[in-house]
Amino acid sequence: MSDVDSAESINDPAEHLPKYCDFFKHLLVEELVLEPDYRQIHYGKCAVIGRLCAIPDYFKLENVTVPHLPSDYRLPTGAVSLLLLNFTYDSPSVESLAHAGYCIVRGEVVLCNVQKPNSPTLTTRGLHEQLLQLGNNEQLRSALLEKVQQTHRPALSVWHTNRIDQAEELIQRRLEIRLLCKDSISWGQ
Amino acid sequence: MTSPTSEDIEDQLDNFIIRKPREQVNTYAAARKETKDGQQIHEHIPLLVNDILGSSPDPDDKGVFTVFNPTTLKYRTCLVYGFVAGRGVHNKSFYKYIIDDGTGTMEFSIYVKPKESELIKRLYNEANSLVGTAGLQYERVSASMVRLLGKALEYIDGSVILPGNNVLLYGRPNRFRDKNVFDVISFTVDNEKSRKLEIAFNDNLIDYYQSHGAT
Repeated sequence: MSDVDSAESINDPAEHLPKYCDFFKHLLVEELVLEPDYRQIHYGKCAVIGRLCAIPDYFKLENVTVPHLPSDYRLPTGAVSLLLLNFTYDSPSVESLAHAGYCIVRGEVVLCNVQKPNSPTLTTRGLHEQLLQLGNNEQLRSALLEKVQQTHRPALSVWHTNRIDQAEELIQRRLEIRLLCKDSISWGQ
Repeated sequence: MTSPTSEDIEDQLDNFIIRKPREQVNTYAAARKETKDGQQIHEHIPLLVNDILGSSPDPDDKGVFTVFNPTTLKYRTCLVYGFVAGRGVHNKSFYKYIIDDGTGTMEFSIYVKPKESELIKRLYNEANSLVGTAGLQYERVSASMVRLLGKALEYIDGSVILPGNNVLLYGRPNRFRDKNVFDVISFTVDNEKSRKLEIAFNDNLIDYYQSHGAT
């Protein structure tokens, strides 16, 4: 935070690793699913609004149209979906949720190996650390990135869900609030 | 045998009794609307958790904080809406929880109001016992008393809040161990699926921030 700290740590590669987000940041399904560079994916807690989609084997969270976005960036509801982990109808926090119901899902973003189910999940930070171990070998680094991008998909490890009715309204306001808050970060530092 | 000193027993007693200054009577003083250097102190403003955490206490006026986003201003009380992300360590006088509004997390504490809740509970039980026993003419009155008192209890009993709920809080920030925490004056739990309260609060907050944004 202070000037002294930042000056000292400038050469420490660990400083460039993403910091764990310790609050439930409001994200869009699109932001997690459509990010091509896995190093840029949110690391930590988040809250995502979407439509629950129950497929026989697993659960997914579909995106919801954001009505106020310019039409070029607007996706119809259900165009993309995010894999949900640790989600069952039995968990106590799930109240009267059903297929195609709108909900807020809170949890942690992970990278899930979709080719080998039940293998340990990776996080954005874990990916950064693996890349760091490879040092400056660009070839190995890009090979690793490519491999991870083939086998892994972003997923949400679910901690809590809330059922809601007016998903579009809430998404729109949460995006506006993120803008208000961003101002403060750039202003304060 | 009357010595001049024994007549005035009070003078004698003074040698043995330490007279404490009488405790000053707390007279009601309205909260000042301006700081000592003439800046307005705002009340009831909607704020984001991140901005409450970032505000700093005013050195001259107790209980007054300075917020820097959307603009620099002094405030005493504010409103905040968020998700209850966890429990803090409750103690005898306070229920403590963690609020998270998507911009940060902050601990808030609700004062346990033992007298009020006991009184309302008693009245509630009294009304409840009337429901079945009193004649028909009181049936409706006592039933609505039960409803009213039950609702009143919800608003003062901080133990009804559960992690996973959504709450609207009105209160004041408090500096505790170099961190801002939040002392709640009143609160409402909002668990409706429609989230009308959340949407309304967010609209209010966005309006407020935009109209005060530093341009």
